Amino acid sequence: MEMIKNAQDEGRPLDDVYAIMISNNANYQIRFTGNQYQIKTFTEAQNNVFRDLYTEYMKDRIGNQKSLELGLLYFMSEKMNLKGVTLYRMDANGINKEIKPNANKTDTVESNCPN
Amino acid sequence: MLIKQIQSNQIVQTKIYIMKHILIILILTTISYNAQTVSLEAAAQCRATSNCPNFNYIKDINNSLNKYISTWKGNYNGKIYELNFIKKINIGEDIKKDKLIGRIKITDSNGNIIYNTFYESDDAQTRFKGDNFQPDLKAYMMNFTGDSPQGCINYGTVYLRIKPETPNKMSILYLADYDIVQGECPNSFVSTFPEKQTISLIKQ
Repeated sequence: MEMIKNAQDEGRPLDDVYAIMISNNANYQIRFTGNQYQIKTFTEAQNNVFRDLYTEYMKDRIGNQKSLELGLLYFMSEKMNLKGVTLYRMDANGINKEIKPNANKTDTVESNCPN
Repeated sequence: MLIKQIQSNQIVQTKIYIMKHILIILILTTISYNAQTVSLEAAAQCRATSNCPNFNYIKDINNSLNKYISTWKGNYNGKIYELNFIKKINIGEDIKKDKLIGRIKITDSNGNIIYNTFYESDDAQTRFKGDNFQPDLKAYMMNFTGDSPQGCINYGTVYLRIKPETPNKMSILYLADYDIVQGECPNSFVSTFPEKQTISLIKQ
């Protein structure tokens, strides 16, 4: 979000900013797809609190990829009230998928990205 | 008379029918409850192979956490480390877990308290919470989140190890998380736990 805010302040397109995580199981990308009013930054003290809660929330999902994906989306949206962030998984077969929570936020739904 | 007997027979049969269904429902509930409850050990080990099923309760079925419950004390590099652990059961949101909650008190060689969460009455706010055993089950991992100035990492995993032959001794080891930080960490920064150093503690 600091990076998004920086892009906004510098007048650069917000969709130029993204982060990629490479792991054993899959590679992920997060992008900000919201609007300028959804840009939200946090103080160092807030970050420390969220870090504690996030660690606790996510560690029990390790070893279950789908549960980790849902946990990340749920935590950002519902605990941090961070909207407009989209998660993509880049599978080894070259297919990229957008991952979203379902309507009642109990599971994820996936859709293929356009080529 | 005959009609009365038939009626009473019907009532008995209906009762048996209802009882049977209640029994089936009870059995099914127990089965589905058990299917979603796993031991701490099973959850620790499935992580290593990334094949954890969906579960909603990670339970200390074998009472493996009980040996940690106490206050432990030791010295390292002129500082006194006091750790207290309690066990809490069935806490969490969609995934519940039995876990240790830790409190920390660190005193320097002049007797000044440099870190203290012993006064924190809310178990959810101690920022030192049990995760699970490592996959070989020899050490229990605690998540520690200290205050981190910008650019610094003062959070990670504290490994608690009690060897079965010495139940009154515990060794702890802190490994900081790897993370992305913003900016330079000031030279004056000192992490709450010394990194990659083993500290020996004695049960009080």
